[in-house]
Amino acid sequence: MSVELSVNGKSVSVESGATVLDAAEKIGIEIPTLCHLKGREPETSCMLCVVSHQGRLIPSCSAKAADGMEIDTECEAVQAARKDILNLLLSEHVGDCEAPCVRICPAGLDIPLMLREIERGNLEASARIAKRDLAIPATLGYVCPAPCEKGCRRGQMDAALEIRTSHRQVAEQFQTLETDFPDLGKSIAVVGAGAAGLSAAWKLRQLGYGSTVFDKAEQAGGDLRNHETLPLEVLDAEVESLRQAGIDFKLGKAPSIHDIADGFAGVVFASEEYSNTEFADAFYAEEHKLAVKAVTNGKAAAVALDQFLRGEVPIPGKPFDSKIGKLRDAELEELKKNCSESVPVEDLAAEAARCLHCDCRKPASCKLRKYAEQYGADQKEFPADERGHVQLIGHDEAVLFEPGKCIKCGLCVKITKEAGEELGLTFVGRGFNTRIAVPLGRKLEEGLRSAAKACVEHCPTGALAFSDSEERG
Amino acid sequence: MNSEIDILAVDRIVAEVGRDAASVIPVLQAVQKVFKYLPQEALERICEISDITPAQIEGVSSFFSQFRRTPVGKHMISVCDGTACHVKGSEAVYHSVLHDLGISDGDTDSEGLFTVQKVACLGCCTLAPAVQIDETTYGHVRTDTVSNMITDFLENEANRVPKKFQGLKNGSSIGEVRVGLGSCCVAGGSAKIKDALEEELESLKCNVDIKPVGCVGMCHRTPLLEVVIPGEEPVLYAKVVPEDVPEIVERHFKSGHPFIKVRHAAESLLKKLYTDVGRNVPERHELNVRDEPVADFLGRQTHIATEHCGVLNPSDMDEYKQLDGFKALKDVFFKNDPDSLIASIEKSGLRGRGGGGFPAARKWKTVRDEPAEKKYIILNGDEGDPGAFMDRMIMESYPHRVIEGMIIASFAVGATEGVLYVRAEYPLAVKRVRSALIEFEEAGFLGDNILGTGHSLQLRVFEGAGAFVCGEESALIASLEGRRGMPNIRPPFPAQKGLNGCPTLVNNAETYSLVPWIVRNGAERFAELGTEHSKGTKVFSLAGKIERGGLIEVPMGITIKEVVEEIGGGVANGRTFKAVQVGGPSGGCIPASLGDTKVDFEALTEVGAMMGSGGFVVLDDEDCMVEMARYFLSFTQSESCGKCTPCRVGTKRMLEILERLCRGKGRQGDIEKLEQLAKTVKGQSLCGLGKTAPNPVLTTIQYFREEFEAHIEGRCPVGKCGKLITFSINDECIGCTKCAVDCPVEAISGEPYSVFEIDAEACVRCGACKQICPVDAVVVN
Repeated sequence: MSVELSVNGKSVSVESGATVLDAAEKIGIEIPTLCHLKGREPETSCMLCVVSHQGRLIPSCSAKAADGMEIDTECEAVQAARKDILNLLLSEHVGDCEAPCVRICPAGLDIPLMLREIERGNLEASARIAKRDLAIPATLGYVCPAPCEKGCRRGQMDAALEIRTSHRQVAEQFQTLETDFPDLGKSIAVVGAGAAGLSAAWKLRQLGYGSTVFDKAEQAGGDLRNHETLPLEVLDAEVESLRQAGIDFKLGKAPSIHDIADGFAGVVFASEEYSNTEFADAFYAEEHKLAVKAVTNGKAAAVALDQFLRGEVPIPGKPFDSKIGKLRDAELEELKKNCSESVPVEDLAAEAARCLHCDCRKPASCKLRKYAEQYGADQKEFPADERGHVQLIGHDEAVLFEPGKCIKCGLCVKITKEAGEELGLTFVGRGFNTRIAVPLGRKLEEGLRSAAKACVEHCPTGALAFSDSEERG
Repeated sequence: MNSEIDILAVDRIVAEVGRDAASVIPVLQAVQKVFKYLPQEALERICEISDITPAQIEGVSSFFSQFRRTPVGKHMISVCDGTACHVKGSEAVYHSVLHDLGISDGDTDSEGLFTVQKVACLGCCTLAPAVQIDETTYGHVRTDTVSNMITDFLENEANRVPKKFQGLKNGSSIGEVRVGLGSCCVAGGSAKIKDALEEELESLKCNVDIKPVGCVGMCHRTPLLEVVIPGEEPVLYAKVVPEDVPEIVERHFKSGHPFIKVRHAAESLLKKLYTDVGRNVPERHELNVRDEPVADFLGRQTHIATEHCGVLNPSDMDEYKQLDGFKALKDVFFKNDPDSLIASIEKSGLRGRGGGGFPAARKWKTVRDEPAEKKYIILNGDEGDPGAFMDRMIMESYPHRVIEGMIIASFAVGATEGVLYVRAEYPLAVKRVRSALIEFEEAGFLGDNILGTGHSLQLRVFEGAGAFVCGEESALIASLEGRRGMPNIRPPFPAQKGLNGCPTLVNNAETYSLVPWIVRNGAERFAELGTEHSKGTKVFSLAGKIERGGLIEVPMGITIKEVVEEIGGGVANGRTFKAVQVGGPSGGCIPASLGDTKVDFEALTEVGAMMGSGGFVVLDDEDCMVEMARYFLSFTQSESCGKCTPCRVGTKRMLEILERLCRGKGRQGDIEKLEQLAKTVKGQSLCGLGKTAPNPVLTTIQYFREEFEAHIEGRCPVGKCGKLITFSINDECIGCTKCAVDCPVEAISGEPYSVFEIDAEACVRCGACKQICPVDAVVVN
């Protein structure tokens, strides 16, 4: 037997017993879910999947499709309701999507990953990350005031990690890196060889463009060349590495309009002199006395130009970022489970091992983050009087459980039960104080044997993750 | 951990109670009964020898309030924090108990003699504030009587000698003395009255029957004692103490032996002299039913669910039979027409009395029409509303009627197996219902092929382990199946797919108890009572700041004002009627200005409240409405099962705002934020608990918004919110020391006959000093 209903005005027929969610899926309408797992009995706990039926909100994951239903999955009431649910979940979410160091670094250097590569002894890999994100990581290693280190949570405990020294040292050690960029068959002119211009040219290369840097000065580097603490040979070596990566430098002569128009698909102005130039297809990267800021501007201009050429609409703003705020002393102790206890040291790897790993292990696959972004959620909408506690369970095991990130959806409880785990996971307590735990106070690894992988995979947030997982979107 | 537990006891329990997963709650209850808590070893052992899994046992044992995982003291002191107790100062009593036992940390005293806990509701609202120590309930406890209460308990514990009145076998009885043995009466001391009566009658050699009766409803005057002598007007005594008994007996039953009489008179005089000295004797009256207040209290009522109240012995099936019991059942069996039975229920307009007011006949019909091999019937006796005790009283006083109603319903829907789900906090109800079941079975009213009709019904009792959410049908069923009490989405309704996946009829005690009357008297007569859509009567527990609290059964359509003023005798202590909280945590606060609102499902919903299960708590001008909103939300928040996001997190955020307001830390925009959250919680929660939890908050904002605004400004207009006020003693103080004695935390000090002082740091702002001060020297700032 089948039933006929309409979803967003489209009619659809499904087998009797199917849910509204099934019906929507059948005609390609996506409904967000957190606690639902296709093919399993619904949990109906997160309530994100609400849709409107005759003005009433019903959870589509478990509401059975019925003849004549008129379902709206996108109306304003539904959007608002989903946003409320996300805001409530985020109000008790104790976790940083991104580590504070990354958040503060204007250039967005993936500091945690770089440090972990150093810790594992993969210096070249770490150098690649630094180069990728900073264009001139060694130079910045001398001139940057290192705002990242002020954000480092370890600073609250003993001393911040020496992030700047780290990226400088790995960059100096691996000055020349093999590159393998795509080739879009287009070239871009970059005017100005200061930090912004170098960064723009580098980013364009990474995106697959040819790039030519023009500057009236004889040598690349702009104001960086006047920096007191920067050894010029470091800067020159980095410029040389950029040249080897395929960036063309036309120095010693101010370019004419023809110079930058002919044969180029676009232009990035990264020089004060050209800031008022009216030029079709031109993008501007402001130089800045803070070199890292200039690097950021160059990168942003390159990305914007690329999007323009592709005809893409730029997405404003940064991805959703859940924030814990200042950590309590006990929480720092908890995070120490992630890292080595030593005080600042000379040895690069030992220093990197001090990183608290306060960034999330599932920043890309986290569904809570994805939908928070999609629905414009605001973590501050329903502020908690007192936020929950950062806690790491099973840190020395394969799977790490962070209760602060758990939304109590119950999927892992269900999965371990189905898998026939002897102990498995269970809900403990009631109401707001409900938590997930291995029964009878046993260890996490005792509860998660055969079902560990499935639990991590289906956990909609970063609450359950493999300790050594790396996800970068 | 105690590693020396008697593991064999666990084995025995599992063998007796059951090895299947669904037995987890009864098994845990039995284990806790033995060890007083749930030792880890016991839990592990249960998993080893039964189908109960570790995940299940952990999940269930941590879900229900009844279960404790840590050792407790020898005796358990439960301080009731129900609505009525709350408004009458249970918080101060709680602190006082802790203080008296010297507990500053944790919940157990250093000797391990007492563990103190707050409980949601003991269902003795008219005795507020009430405290239960093990199985003894103390009513009207004050901070200054806490110490006596504990001493009294220990003394009684030491001298517990069972006494039995044999009665006199020769000659006929010259009369009967009825003693109320509902929980309120027992808590009020009726068991002691009964003992005193037995002793007295024995010594006087009087041939008088002592008859225990169920709740009379006049719980505000417990314990009650009624003397009935054939040919004479019955005389009712209220607030009787054991010391009164000899006098009462003397007055009505003069002994034939002059010598005994004289000796008795002398003795009783002596006794009175001794026992009354220094005793804090509450007022007590002889009370004739024709006295005006009593006539008002009882006169406006219509007894259907509570038929024969004050007459019927709750443990006497023969008497129930004499008073028309089983007539309805036999009539139903004789007609043997379930469809017309359901039609008749439909015609009566009976709606479920558990809260939602769903038409009973429609539910019955759904279950009847479901094609299924097996169908179940459940009595929902998990009354969790912290200001209500109707179902407790009905199950205690009329167990036979409830079960008769269930059998009729089971016949109508075709259910052959059923459960009476009764809160474990209602031990007397559990006991009475259990013994009634045995009587029914022996009489052939239950079991296979009842009275040769071909209809079979097996009933068993299941004790609810303490979760308000289990009043929700699907959560109740989850707990019966041995799972955490978490509701499921409906449809499918339990009537279609309930216990073990079978169609299941769930009604509460009051609903079932109305059925026999409807069958006997006809649907039309029931439908004559009430309003257009709300037929018949409704039982309420009338409590709070009311002159005459108690259990009342009134025709639907009566107004709130009539209940408060005519039945309840108005607000107590000369205060002003401010509002009434109807429907408990799901209901709302209806202001005095809407006193003409009718007791009717729709009318109550229209003003933002709801019928709920029938709590009716009267508030006066000393009650802070923000604090009331906080109180109710703290209840629902702590009782949320935690399954769906809006209820789990939303109620918490709402509570935080309300707590902040009561602490004087409110912010601009808090009211709007509360309303926004309320909308989300109401609109998107999975079950009735969440969908109605914001009601008390929304109604108080609607009708008392100015009080919320005042709290944002840091003022509590009625001076109730502790953190917003300070207590001090002015120069009027005469140094009588009463406040210092009464203070639960010893925050008051001073020399006798000089002005006393309050230590603001230590003060818990309970207001006990203000209440007791004879010269009004305690001022609130």
